[in-house]
Amino acid sequence: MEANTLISLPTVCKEQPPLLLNFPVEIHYNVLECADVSQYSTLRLVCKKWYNFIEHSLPLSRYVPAKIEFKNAPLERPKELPSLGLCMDSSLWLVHRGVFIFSKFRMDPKLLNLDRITTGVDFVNSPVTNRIREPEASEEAIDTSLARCFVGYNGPEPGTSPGLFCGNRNISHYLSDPAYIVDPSHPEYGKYNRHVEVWQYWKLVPGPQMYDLAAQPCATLGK
Amino acid sequence: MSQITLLSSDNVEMKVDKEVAERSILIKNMLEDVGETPDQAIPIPNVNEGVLRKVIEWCEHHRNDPPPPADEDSDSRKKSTDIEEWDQKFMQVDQEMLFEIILAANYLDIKPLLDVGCKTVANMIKGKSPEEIRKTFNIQNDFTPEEEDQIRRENEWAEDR
Repeated sequence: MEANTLISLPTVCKEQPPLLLNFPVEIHYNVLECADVSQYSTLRLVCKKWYNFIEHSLPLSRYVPAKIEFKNAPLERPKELPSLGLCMDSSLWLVHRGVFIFSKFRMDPKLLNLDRITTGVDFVNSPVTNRIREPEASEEAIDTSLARCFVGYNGPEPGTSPGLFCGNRNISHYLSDPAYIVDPSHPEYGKYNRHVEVWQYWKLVPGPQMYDLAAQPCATLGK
Repeated sequence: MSQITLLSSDNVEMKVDKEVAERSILIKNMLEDVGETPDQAIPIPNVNEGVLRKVIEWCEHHRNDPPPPADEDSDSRKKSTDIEEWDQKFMQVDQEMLFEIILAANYLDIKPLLDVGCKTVANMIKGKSPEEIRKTFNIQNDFTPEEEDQIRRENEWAEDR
């Protein structure tokens, strides 16, 4: 039967066999987005195509709600210095009760409960974990200084990039840039609540001191 | 109920309810452009009979489903590997058929079916090592040993628990 020329659909050349790697990019995205986020470190090793998708192209906007900003950032920064990779103010941590995502794609969503952020830290520096688990167990107020256990700002130093530290270990290269905090009160939070859960019962009480990078540099703050 | 005829790439005609065929956004848009139910068969040049029958079977089962939201990030299209039971059974096919269904769903613009297919592939990936994934999907390792070592080093932080 002859096809009606008025009713014809576009033809896509199908010379290649149905190999996954030959699929259109959008299908790869779809597959990778469906894949368990905790497996991304494995998937990066499969082939260059997936490595590049995960590293550079995968739309990770599902974690977008709010960008972490320096509350007490210097008013003027020399223009020749690199931009901040990621900074965090402890007051924001408290206000938002957020889940801090070290890396948007290397953490298991199941570990993204706020009570499990310690597990995320555990990936990097177990001594820090121990410091954080104590108040969790006793439901005591959390000292805002703990925030600097998660994130420290290294620099700026001429010729160096901002660094991100957990404990004394530079984890900058594990981080997505920019990183995001997920705020449950954010109007778009609903989009993400199956990927990122916020532990609602954390007893967050503002600590006695602010994490003032200018006045109170900590051990993880390389200056 | 009005029916239309689809013509597979291997020239097999299939009658199907219009509302079933319109699960395909491509066909739906085309029918809207034409403005009336066509008398002639609509050629589906990229989908053979076997695959088209599977796609129609899926569309028949899901004919009363609400249309997928236009918003790509909508909650109902959450990226997870949850697949409803009927769809799981539907996708119990060999890999070639699975891939053909995915390609057909992509071509015909049937997003829910495409999602089911991609979730099925994601489930096949679960728990596998890179080498097992390559073997499963016939993917060539195109990293040099040095590149692979470098990526493994980058991954170390997530593994040394």
